[in-house]
Amino acid sequence: MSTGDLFKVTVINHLESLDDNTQSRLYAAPATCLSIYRLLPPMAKFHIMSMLFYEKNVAIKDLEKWSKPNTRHLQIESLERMRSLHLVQLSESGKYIRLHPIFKKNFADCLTGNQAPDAFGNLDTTVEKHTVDLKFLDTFASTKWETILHYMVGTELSSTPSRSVLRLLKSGGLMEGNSDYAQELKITNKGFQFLLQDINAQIWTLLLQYLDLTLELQMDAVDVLNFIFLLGSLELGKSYSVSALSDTQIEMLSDLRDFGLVYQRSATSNKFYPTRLATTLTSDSNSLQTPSMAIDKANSGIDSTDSKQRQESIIIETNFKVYSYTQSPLEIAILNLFVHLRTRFANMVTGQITRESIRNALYNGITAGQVIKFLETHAHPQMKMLAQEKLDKKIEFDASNNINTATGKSTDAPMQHKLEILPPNVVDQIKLWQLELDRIQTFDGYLFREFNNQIDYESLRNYASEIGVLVWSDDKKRTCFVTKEGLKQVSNFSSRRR
Amino acid sequence: MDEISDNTFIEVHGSDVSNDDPSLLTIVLEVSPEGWFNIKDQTSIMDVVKSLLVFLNGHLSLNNSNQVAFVLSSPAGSKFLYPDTSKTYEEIPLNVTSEETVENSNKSEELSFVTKGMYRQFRVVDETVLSGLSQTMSDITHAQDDKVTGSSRLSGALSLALSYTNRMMKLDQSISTTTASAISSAANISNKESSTAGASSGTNANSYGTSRMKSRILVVTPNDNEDIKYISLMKAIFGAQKMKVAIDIAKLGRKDSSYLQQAADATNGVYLHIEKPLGLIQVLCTAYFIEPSIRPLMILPTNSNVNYKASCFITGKSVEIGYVCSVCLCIMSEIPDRMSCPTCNSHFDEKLIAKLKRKPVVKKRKLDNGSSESSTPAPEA
Repeated sequence: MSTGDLFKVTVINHLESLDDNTQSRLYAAPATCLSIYRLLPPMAKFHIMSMLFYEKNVAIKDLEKWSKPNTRHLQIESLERMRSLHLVQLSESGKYIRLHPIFKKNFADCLTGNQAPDAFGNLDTTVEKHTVDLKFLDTFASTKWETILHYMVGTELSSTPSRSVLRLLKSGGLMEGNSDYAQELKITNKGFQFLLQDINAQIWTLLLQYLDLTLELQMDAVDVLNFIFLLGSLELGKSYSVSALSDTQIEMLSDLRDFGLVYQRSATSNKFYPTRLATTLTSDSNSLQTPSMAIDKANSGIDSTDSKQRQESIIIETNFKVYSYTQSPLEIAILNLFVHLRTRFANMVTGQITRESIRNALYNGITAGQVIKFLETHAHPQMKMLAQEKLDKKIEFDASNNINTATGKSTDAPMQHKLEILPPNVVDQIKLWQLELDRIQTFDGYLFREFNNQIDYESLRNYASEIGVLVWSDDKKRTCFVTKEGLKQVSNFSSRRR
Repeated sequence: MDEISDNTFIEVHGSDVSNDDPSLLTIVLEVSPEGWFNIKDQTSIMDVVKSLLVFLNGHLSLNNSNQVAFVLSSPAGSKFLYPDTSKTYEEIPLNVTSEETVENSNKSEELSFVTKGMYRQFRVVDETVLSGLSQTMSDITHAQDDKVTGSSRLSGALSLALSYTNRMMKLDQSISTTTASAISSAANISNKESSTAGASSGTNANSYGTSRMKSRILVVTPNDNEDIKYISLMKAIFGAQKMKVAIDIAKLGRKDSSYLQQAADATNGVYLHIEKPLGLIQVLCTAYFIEPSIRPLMILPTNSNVNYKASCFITGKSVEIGYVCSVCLCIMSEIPDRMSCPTCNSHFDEKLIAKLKRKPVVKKRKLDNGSSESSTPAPEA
């Protein structure tokens, strides 16, 4: 799973943990329906859409007919997701499902344009005295967000984040320390991991933390969530009136302003502007900016045009040497997590990836995947260009040797070649170093043994592997091991066979 | 030992199969007066377009970065309804409601589908398509007296859709950049560079090349005529095949269209003949809602029974049994008068032709048994 999808999973997990009643109330807002829909896995999206305009209950068997047999596990995952979010309701017999009626109505209305006129925010049409343009909003959002990142990594800056942000960082375990004073907090391992994530994941981490906090403050979780999802569907560069918001949501505005998600001219202003950070909350595309870029901007003032070139600046050679064109303390600090830095020049640092340096990072809880992903996204443009050229050549070579490309169905074949931005030997080695550490993997689950005959054993094992819950099996001893989640289905299956 | 260590990373690749890349959906709607007249007691263009718009909204709701395009293929020519280059989408008027009252009743009825509070992405697309459609409709009605040929311009519309797809795939939009800016990207470059971090991440993704946009095309046509320009259609199909763009076909009207069946079949698309278009929205939301990203996982609801009929290069009629030029594989229903291939101009052997004319049965190639490879040279050409 790519890191881009990670925030989706965390958000969904959070939503699943809410109780039935809260979820039903959430679905009353069309904007929330749309946002939740976007967070679902692709298969679930298809299932929901196919049921959306269908009046009757749908047999689960019919849904299963759509996908190929070897994708059972994806299907089960999709159904499981929808069920735990209560997006679908099972009939008594368990054979038919239908969409949650409120969700169904609101989502359909949203697509057909029948929803309430202020479902996606109330546009404020009064003329603004001071014009607020996109550039201003972007600068505002990034300064706010940068301040937080700078603070975390300990850059000397004049401004520190507000107290509410500090409290969030502390309760989220990203910073630690006894006092509430900004200077005395220290970044934790979790905090370093946080820095490696892309900006969307970072924002969601803070927002979910914020949600927990609002619960303690007796704020209404539905109001808070609805507002967050609403922000994701607002239009950038337009002002919205606060009149349609509930008291809770107005209270939230000041906190969101501290994150740089919304802009208000003053705390009492009756309109607000969503920034780019807010409007892209529910989208999964690449991050708007990376930490290093934020720092570059801060160092070079407002002049952001040349920071664009310096944003990706890491070169890795096959001999594990790393060169990074950067001066920013943040990027150097992050590199220092997994690179053994050697020399620092006026505009670059050099270092070496070693077994020790990677192991250090791994001990800090950073995964090999995170390191690789970070290096890939920050690779020097020249490296990316070379990689692309190589890939093109490979594809071309294949095409010229394999004339039979016009037979159709070729789309079924998986892509044989991948874009290799980093030297493959380095990537493999980093992965191997991680594997050195986890030689033992643990799974919670159940062992099935003492089958009566080989046929019983085989059918059960095949079923388990089909639905993707089989962890291990031994044909000679007729034993197999099934994950905790899969136990119910597998035991149902075996009792049905009897 | 090896098994254990492999597992950790194999799982990572496994989940890649169903990733959620942004995708582009291009709808090609054919407006041939005759075709729509034939099914006028079942449905109207307006009803179908409304269903299509809901379908487009559904596609846009899948992913924030999803893109759509709408191409109208009319006897007067093909053109884009969305994205419309003549408009800037930032400035779409917000006072639609007030406009409606001023406009004539017909138009206000059409636009009533679009409400003011609609999600912005939806509203922009729906408004543009509807206003473009009514514009084209009135153009067609007024131009009736001129020579409006009845023949289909579908292949032209497909080429338009494909070239747009090609452009979008190369450009790979990111969140921040809108379709409008893709079209007028040249004008925006300076703007982009100076302004936002978001825009620059868009260009990064582009040079990066890992998150390529996926795309597909949906053709909706009621046209029962078989006078589609065969060669250009086939060329469009092969273009789509090469670009890995699936062409889905929603065929309204009375008959199946064998050429469009071939189009869907060759590009791994869905072909359905919708005889009762009343429940069109449900069909669109199930059978045609299979995204490119989950397409490898799904069983496509398509008919395997495809008629690989080819079209004669001289008369334009479809042939089941005919002659094939041995040089360029051009298909003929009759032996050309000038004894040379109409496409590649290679001269035919006179003796052979004489032989063919005398005993045509011997050299005829059967095209309809479909059992061997050689029986289907035409679509492979």
